[in-house]
Amino acid sequence: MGRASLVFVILMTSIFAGVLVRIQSNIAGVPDVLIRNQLNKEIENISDYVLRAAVRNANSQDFLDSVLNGEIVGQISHIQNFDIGERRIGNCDVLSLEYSYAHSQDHYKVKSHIRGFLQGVEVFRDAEMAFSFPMVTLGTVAPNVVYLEFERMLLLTWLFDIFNINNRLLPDSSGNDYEGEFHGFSFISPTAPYFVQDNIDDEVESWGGAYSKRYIKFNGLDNYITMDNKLPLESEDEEAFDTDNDFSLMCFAKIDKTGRRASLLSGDRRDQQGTLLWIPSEYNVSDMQHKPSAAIYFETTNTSSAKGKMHYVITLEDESELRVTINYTRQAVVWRRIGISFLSVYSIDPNHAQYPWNSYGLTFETKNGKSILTAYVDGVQVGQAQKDGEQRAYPSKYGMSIGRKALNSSFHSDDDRKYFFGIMDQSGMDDRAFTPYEMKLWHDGVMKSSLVQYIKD
Amino acid sequence: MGVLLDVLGSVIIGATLLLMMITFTLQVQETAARIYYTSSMIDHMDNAARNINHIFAMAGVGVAIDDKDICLEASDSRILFQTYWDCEGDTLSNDLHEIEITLADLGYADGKVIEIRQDGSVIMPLGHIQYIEDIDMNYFDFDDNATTTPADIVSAEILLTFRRDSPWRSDQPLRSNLQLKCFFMNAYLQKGNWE
Repeated sequence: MGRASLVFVILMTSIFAGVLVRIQSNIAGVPDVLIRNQLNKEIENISDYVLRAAVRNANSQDFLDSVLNGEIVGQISHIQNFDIGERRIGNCDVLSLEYSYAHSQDHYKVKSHIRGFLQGVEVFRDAEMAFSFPMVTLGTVAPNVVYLEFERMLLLTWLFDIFNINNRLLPDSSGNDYEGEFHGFSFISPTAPYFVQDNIDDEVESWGGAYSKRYIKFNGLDNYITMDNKLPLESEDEEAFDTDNDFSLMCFAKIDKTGRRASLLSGDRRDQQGTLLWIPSEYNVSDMQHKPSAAIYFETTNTSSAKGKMHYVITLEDESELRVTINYTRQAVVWRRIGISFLSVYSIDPNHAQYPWNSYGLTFETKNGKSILTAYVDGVQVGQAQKDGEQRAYPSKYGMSIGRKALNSSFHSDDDRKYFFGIMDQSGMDDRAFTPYEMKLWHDGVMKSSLVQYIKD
Repeated sequence: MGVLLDVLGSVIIGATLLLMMITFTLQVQETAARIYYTSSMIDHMDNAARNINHIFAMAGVGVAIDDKDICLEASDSRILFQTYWDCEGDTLSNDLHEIEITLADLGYADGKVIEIRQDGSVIMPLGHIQYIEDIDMNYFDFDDNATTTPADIVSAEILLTFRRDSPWRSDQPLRSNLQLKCFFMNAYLQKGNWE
């Protein structure tokens, strides 16, 4: 009897143990499946984000110059490797980012390698994207295409001047090597990094908009940039930089809301500011001085108000003018006045980061028997002016001036030049008139899909 | 006699308690099995969808859509397209590959299999998706109109029916349906109309 009971108990216990083991294995497997599922979802999103950021890096010619060594010929690449924990987002680590040119600037590739890890479960995800040079104007070797990104730090320009070394050149990302030259005084560097407050109240370097980490400062006093009308680099076309029948002008800027008041260095200049882009017509003819071949500028109408006028101007070949003028209210406080009255000085107000970048675009085209000027703010058409007859814009032989009107000092004083008081980023010219859709894409920083060779995400 | 009755009584009571325990444990076991089944099936379906979506997305990489057709053949349960993407190595290649997604009945007790083939060879393990009962694919052109013309196809609506035996009753399989829309993403990018 006792033996039978023992056998019965052992039998029951064995069955019970078997069931328990199966429960354990089933239940233990569930969290792994769920965690892997969750991680896969997370790593997908992180991978998309990282690839986007990497592609964004790739938009900057200066960034590429800084990481890619050698000529852009053949296959060259740069790999950024990160330790685990060094670049962590959520439960994922960015392990590496690879940037590479394959044979030409038309074949550019970014690869990301991400690892996800949570409660003992590990997953990996690779993503890559290949594309032609992303921005519409970047990498375009054609006459009359220039694009200045202001990503280069021009350190202590005044000191280099003493030693007769030109440390004032800003590279042209179009590939034409037009270059811009910074003029005026800047103590450290006229280009400054873009900072934002992160969620723990630290200032972190960030992308300020329009694919850029740095911007250029204009003090409204003596800062401006000139771009000579050189021949484009490596182009069979022998015409120097000029306006034409079709082109676009564009820039991102924050125009200071209050304007430059009296300070230690100057008197009140609030009504003497506002030139963004200016391509002169005849530099040496007095009555053509205020007739730019093409220009975008802001005009202060009331020194005590943020309101003013924005002008978009084209002078046609017959010296007649196409002009769009709109009411425009400045929004950003960019410069901070420190001190009292005329003893004050100006420095960049870090709070400008809270104001969005505004973009200003002008397109000119001749079609259907008309000459047409179209004006844009923030990628949106704000006006149009046209004239019967297909006339090109007035030829220009003097390049482009950024931040002030290019006026001959024989006819005009410095005050007439209307120096720009604010900050600017991403300015340039393309040799064709952007469509409204393209202008919006440019403003939004969206890459044209046709430039994408392939995406694997 | 009294002792015998005591022993019998205790055995009956003990056995009853044990049976209660076993019954309870079996219920827990079944619940755990169901949870495991459900979560693993969701995981499996998720992976299947991800893999199919990925393969579709890579269609037409490097193929100039104006010169060549990306999709060569298409039916309810099979599609064949071209790409320079090497789906086996998951990298770009110099060779044009033919990728085929098809439903195959390999005689498995678990059901049919979706096979993803590159140039005739199954891509392992990516291209062997089990527990499939049926697949139904409908195709669309760039303007999202239904089409059966392979050359026009740039996206597909896929209805997958997964079937797996019940943990307890194999004669009553559990079915789950999954509907997804997959795009020839890289072909879409080429066809982008931005004017």
